[in-house]
Amino acid sequence: MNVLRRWGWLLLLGPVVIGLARLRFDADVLNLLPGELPVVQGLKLHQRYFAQDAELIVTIAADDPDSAAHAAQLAAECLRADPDLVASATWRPPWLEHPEDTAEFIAWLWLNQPPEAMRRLEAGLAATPLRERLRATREALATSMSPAEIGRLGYDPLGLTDLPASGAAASPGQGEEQFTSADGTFRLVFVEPGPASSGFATAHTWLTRVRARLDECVRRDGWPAEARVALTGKPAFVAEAATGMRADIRSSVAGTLAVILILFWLAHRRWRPLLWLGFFLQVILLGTAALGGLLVGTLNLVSFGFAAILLGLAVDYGLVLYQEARAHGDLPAAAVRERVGGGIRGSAVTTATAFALLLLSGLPGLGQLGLLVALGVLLGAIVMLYGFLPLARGEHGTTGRHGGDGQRSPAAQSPVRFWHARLANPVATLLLVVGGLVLWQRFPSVDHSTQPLSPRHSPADAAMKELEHHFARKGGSVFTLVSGQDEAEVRERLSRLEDAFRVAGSHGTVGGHELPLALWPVPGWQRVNLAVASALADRTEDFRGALREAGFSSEAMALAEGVFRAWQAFAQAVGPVWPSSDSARWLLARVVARTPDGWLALGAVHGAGTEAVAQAARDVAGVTFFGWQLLGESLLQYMETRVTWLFAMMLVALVVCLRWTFGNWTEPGLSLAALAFGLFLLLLVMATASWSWNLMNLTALPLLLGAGVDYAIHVQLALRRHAGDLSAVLGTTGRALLLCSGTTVAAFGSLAWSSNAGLASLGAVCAAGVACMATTAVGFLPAWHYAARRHDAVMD
Amino acid sequence: MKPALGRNVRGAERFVVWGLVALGLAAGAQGAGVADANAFLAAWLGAQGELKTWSADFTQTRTLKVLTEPLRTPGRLWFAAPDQFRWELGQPPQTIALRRTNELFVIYPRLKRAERYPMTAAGGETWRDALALLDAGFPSGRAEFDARFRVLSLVETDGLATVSLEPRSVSARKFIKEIRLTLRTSDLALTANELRFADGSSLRNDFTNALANVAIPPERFDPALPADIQVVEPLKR
Repeated sequence: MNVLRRWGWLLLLGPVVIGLARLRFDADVLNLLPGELPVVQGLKLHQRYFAQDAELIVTIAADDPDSAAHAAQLAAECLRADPDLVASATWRPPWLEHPEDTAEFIAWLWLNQPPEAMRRLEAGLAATPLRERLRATREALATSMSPAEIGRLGYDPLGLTDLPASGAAASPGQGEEQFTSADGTFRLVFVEPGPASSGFATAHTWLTRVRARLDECVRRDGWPAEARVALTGKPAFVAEAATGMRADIRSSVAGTLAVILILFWLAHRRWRPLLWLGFFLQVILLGTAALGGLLVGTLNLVSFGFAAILLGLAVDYGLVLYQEARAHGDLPAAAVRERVGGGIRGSAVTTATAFALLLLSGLPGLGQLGLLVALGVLLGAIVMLYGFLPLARGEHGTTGRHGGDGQRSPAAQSPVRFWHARLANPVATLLLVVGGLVLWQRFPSVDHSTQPLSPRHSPADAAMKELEHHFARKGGSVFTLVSGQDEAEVRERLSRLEDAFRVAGSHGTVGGHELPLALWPVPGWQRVNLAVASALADRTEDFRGALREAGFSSEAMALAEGVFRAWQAFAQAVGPVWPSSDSARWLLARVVARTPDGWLALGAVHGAGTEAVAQAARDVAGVTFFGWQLLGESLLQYMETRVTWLFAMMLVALVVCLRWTFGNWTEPGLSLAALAFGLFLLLLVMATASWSWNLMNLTALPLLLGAGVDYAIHVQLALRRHAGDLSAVLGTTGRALLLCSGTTVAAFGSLAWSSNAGLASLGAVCAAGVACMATTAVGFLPAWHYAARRHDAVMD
Repeated sequence: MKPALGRNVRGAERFVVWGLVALGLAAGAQGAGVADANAFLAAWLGAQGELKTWSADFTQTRTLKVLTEPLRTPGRLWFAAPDQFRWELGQPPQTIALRRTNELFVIYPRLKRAERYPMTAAGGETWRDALALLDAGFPSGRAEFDARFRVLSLVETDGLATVSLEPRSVSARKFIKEIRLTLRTSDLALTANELRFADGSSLRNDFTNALANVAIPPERFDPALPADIQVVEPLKR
């Protein structure tokens, strides 16, 4: 039995190993956001099903269009030379590099036209009109000065590229705008990662290899001297996130641990407990990570920040236990546990509850962070009570009593007593007046952007902003996803949406729109058109003869033969047909996607807000609107509601708990006043530092309520315990609170250097808030307590 | 694989654009005698400062890969220094190309349609290259000319010198392989030019009735488009 009690903990190693093995990291910023928001759903669908989201984007900026185009071509060729690294590198519309793909695409576009258009084509290719057409074509070839016209007429004398307006808009040859800015000096190369890129872990290595290859290309002769290269797109962001997360974990955990150990050393100057403290804090981290692996599996960009926060919170229990053990050096560990175990357990449950409430914040990333900290705090309490305490205390107990029970020198006590007796209340009043004026002038604003979701100091982000600058449309764009169970349903919805946007455009509520209507097949039309197309294809030899007679060479028949072959191949297919060439697939992958539930079509509306677009499309089912610029506002509205609700819920819970703890209304009132004053100080700090609220740091409010009320309870209970003896209170509880808050501030503060902007702002606000709460609890609350309880005599 | 639409459009672009280019070069190609390429070019470049206007009749021969026989069309050209030209193709004109400083009009009278190409617009690289080479017909000096062209060869036969040039611009070289100027060795008068394209097509202008420094009315270079002509800008995005 004793063996089991002594070594039973080894049984935990199994789950720990399994949990750690299951642990994965997720660098996708979208997974931090509430899935029920339509704008988030749209972004996720786009990311999951549309090709361009997985592509690395190489941006090329040069002084002139010629150099930019040449550099883009060289960059693409360099990358293509390593097929393991890069599956494809596209620097201009693929059909320009593979013109042989054009025929199949044109054949397919004809099948998507209304049957009357196909019949008009058939009529125009009858013997007599064809002869007249070929004569006019020869004349135009002799006198036209339009490069496009000569190319089109010369190689398409049958007029197969004369698609009706809607089809022509979708036909190849108009795709350059996806690759080059309006002035031609900024170009994009789209890179599809090759086998060497296989996920989060290898993202950085892959990107480094891509960059090295591009650097090599830049050094070669022929590279335009002034052309500059940058990388962006999801693979670049993932690579940065991967390295950023590793660096953040290392720096925040190591920094927090170092601060904790230094503070402990300064307070106690003992090596043995210090080393055990460091060891058990790491055990707690490892255990929590394993629990995370078992329960969550994948940690996201924000939740990995649990480590530093947890260190700051878990160490408090160790500090309290060690302080108590030293104060009562003759007591065995079990007795010490008996004395303070209840308080630690209560505190752990309260703190864990506060963090677990983050699960209700609506942000999955933050919820996961809250869950991990909550689990870690509970685990930390257990580990400190049953692991750290016996070992840190040692076989023979702690040596000597540590200045507890308020034993301070009279000289040290005088200024403190003077502060609380004479200065605290006037200073608080002064702060309220001056701070009120400051806040009147510059109350911290609310940042409605998605900046808090962005990485900081990110070359990929800088390149993306430059890209957006060069490719931005006036008035912004709202993207539109149209879903349906099959091609026919999507087509029907696209048609209705097209009508709706056209009406809205005529009323001026929508600037313009692009829907892939011309690229979307109508199964019924395809069936009818295929019959006519097959009949035309059967006349190939007739057309060849007519061209020969009109003086055209076999070259002039090349496109037509390709179209006829494609029609014959399509005729063999069952159901709606789609083109199969690489160029067509590249183009379609940008606007068409197949999902397990059906089909998606991607469009865009320009020069209108979401409300106007949604209003225009209100009668069309299966439509989702999204766009990164819409995300900030939607999220903030969502968060404000959630945080208000959370805040109110916590306040009610706090009032109940405080009443239950103190058994009266005066001390709960003082606790709430301390909370309010602490938040007031935080606002003052934020205003002074020009910080703003955002969708991430708003969630600091419930956390700070939890931390702040803890400090208020401890101070007021200590004042009761020591019968209002301020010296005793400050020597024990006050000292411990300052040490604990110092470690917590260090923990949250370490996140201020996180590579994730949201986590950094959350860390900074939490650190400042905890400092404000601790300052209020230790620096002002006793004075208010005395004023309320009329203990002036004790203070004198 | 036989050529299809995309490549063919590019081939056609070469065809027309470099027709204009050659025209510009031809307009400037009047000068002194030929001894070697450098001496010839030095003499020709030296004479450019004296050229104020130039006009000529021509016959344009388009040898297209898509046709079994070449197409021949008569036309007339007017040029005024520093950068104006008017090119009429067909009699009566089927197509008029008119350049004024930084824009180019292509007018189709029969179709009552005109196309305007601002030279600074994106997508107008073809036209920009054409103009750059057109300017090369009137270089301000040897250095500028050398920066734009590389002289491939100079061949003299029966009193005619043929200078072969290659554009230095990477994008221009993608669609034009060679520019040939044919000049009389006696007076350096241009008699023909020829553009040879990558796909094997070519465009040749044979000039006759050339007149140098004869006053040309300014309205010759004014598009003066009638109200019923529709003007479009193909490069506008």
